[in-house]
Amino acid sequence: MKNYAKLLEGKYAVVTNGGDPCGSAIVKKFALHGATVAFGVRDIETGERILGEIAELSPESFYLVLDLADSDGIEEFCRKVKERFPLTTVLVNNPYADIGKTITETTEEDYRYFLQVNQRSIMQTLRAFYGPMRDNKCGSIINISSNTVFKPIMGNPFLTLSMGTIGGLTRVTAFEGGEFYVRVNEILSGILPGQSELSPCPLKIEGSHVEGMADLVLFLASDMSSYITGQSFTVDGGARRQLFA
Amino acid sequence: MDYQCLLAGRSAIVTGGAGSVGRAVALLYATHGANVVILDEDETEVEKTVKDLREINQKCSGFAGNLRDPESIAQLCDYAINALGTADILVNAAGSYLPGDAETLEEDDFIAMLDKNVNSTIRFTKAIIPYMCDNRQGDIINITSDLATASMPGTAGIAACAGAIVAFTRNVTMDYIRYRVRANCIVYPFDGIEGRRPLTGAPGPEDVANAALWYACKMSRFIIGDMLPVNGGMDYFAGMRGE
Repeated sequence: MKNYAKLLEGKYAVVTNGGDPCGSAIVKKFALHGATVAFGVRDIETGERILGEIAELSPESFYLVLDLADSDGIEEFCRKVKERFPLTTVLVNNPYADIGKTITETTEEDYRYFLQVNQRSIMQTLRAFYGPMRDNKCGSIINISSNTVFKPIMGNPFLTLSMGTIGGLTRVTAFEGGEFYVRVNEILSGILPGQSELSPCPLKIEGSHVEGMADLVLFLASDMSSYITGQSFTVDGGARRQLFA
Repeated sequence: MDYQCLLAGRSAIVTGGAGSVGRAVALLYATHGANVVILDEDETEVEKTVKDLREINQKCSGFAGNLRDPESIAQLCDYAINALGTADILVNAAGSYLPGDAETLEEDDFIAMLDKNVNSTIRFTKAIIPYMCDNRQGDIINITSDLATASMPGTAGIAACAGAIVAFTRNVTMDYIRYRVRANCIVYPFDGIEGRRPLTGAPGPEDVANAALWYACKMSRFIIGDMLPVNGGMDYFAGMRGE
C-alpha cells in the first residue's frame, strides 16, 4: 500500500520557477509530500521566504536565482542542481513570459524573449535532466503551459504562440521516454503567469486556486499517475469545454 | 487535506464493482475512508468483493442485478441509497466488450454493448444525480475504453460506446456544474486488446483506481468535463523510430 501522505518520499524534484504564486504552491506541496526540492526564483528575498516556509519539512531543499530569459543562467542552474542532487526524478517546467502587447506592437526582441523563456528554457532543462532519468528508468516531467493556447486572450499573441509549442515537445518526449519509464505530461493552466486566480470559468471554486494546481502537479509527479503519459490537462474550471454559458 | 484519507465519510456507488477495475476502485475508495456500495451482475463475485471491502470498512455493501434492465437498475439504485443514506460519488465502471467491425458486428452484440456500457451509465447517472443536486456536491466518474480517442481494427461497437460516454460526461458537467456536480471520464484499454504504446508494460486495475481516486477527491477540484487516458500515451502513438 502506498503512503498517500508522502507521495514523493525520498525524491529529488526541480521546479524552474518557484517564485510566482503557482510555483511556490508547487514547491510547498512537494516538500509536504517528502520531496527535496531545488527551485529557481527571480530574487533572493522570494527564495528566502519560500525556503523559510519549507525548511522544517524539507531541510535539504534549496533555491537558486534564475532568470529563464538568460540561457547561460539556465545551464548554470542545471549544473549546480546536478552537483547537489544524486538523481532528479521530478522536473517541473513552469515558464512565465507574459507581456501585454498586440501583434503590431510586438518587436523581434519580444518574440525572442518569449521563445527563450517559454520554450527554449524547457528544452535546456530537458537536455540536462532527461538523460539521467532515462538511464535510471525513472522520472516524471511536467510542463506547465497556458490555456490561452485554446482560448487566446486579447493582446498577447506570443503567449499563445510560445505556449502552443510546449504540447508537441511534451508528446515527443513522452514517446522517447516511454520505454524507459519516463513520463511526460502537460498542464494547460487557466491561471495566467504570475497570477493566483483562475480566469473566469463555469466552475465556482472555493479556496486557493494555486493549491488546486499544485495538487494536479503532485498527482502527475507521484506514482498515483503511474500509467499516464503524453497527456495534456486543461485546468481551467471547464472554460474550454463551455460552448454556451 | 488528509492525503491518507482522501474520501473520509463520503458515500460512493461503484457499478461493475465486482469486475477487476471496479473492484480495485471500490477497495481503494474504502481504504481512503469512503462508504462504498458496489453494484454488479454476478452475485458470487459481488459477495466476494463485499467481504474484502468489509475488512476495510464495515459500512460497505453490495447488490447484484441485471445492469441491462432499466427497472433492475432503478431497484439497485434504491438499495444503494438505502444503504448509504445519500450518494456523493458515482463511478460507472460497468462495461462489456465484444469484437467486430461495422459489417461483422452482430446486432445482438452491439445492443448488448450499448446497454451495458452507454445505457447503464446514463441510467445510473439519471437515478443518482438528484441526490447530488440536493447535496449541492457530487463527483461522477465514468470509466470506459480508450478507443474513444484512437481506433483499432475490429472494434467498431466499443469505439462507438466509448465515444458516446465521453460526450455524455462532458454534457452532464455543463448541465449540473451549477449544483457543484463534477463529471469526468477515465479511458483505458479495458477491452484487453494488446496495443503498442509508448510507455512500457500495460496499465493494471490499480492504475485506473488511482485515477478514479484522483477524480473523486478534492485534489482535482478544478477539473470538470475532462477525459483522462490511463493508457501509456497510446492515443498519440503513431509508430516508433525506424519502423
